[in-house]
Amino acid sequence: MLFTKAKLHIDDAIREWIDEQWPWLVEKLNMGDLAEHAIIEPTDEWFPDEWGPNREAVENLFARVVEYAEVEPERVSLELIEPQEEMPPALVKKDDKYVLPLEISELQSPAVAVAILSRKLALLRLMDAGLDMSRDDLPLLMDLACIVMGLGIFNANAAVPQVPR
Amino acid sequence: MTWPMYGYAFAKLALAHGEAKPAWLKHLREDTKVFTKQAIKWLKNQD
Repeated sequence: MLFTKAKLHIDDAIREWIDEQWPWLVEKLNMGDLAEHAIIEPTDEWFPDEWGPNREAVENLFARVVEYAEVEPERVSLELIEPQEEMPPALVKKDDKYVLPLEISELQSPAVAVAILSRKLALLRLMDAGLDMSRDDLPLLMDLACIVMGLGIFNANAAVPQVPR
Repeated sequence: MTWPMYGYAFAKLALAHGEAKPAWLKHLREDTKVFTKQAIKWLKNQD
């Protein structure tokens, strides 16, 4: 049975952290029964719009991700910016809206753009849920929230692994 | 998160959907896919 034994590659503390945050996220993000939410895949079925280096394609992609993240579209807008030396803020509050800055260099891959936008929208939903933004585990929670929201495939494929503190 | 953390979280997502062999696994990078399959198996063994 040596080769069939189920094995976890995370230690107990990490597993317990995920086990604790999971139901909390499901509740705070108002997900209800997760089985009733789609898991978004990098396919034409989910992203049927033609992709290209133009404003229309990016706006179409943004609209899809906003819809799949279950955020009201009138609350957010996209701002394409030149590559920055430092990482731009995830969200910028402008009047009654949140602007999502996205560096144009991130548009080389639509999957990466989806991953970045998903993470920003996960943060917005966590803010709506009243999450303490000073939490040390906020970056990890954003990753986990993307999975709970059904958008995690993009982040898992695009992200640089972050080790919990 | 680390790839094994992603694997464990995806395993929880799969089982929340009642799927022990979800079709969407094919879209994951290979290492994350392996960690997810192992975590699904591990979680099912805990039942």
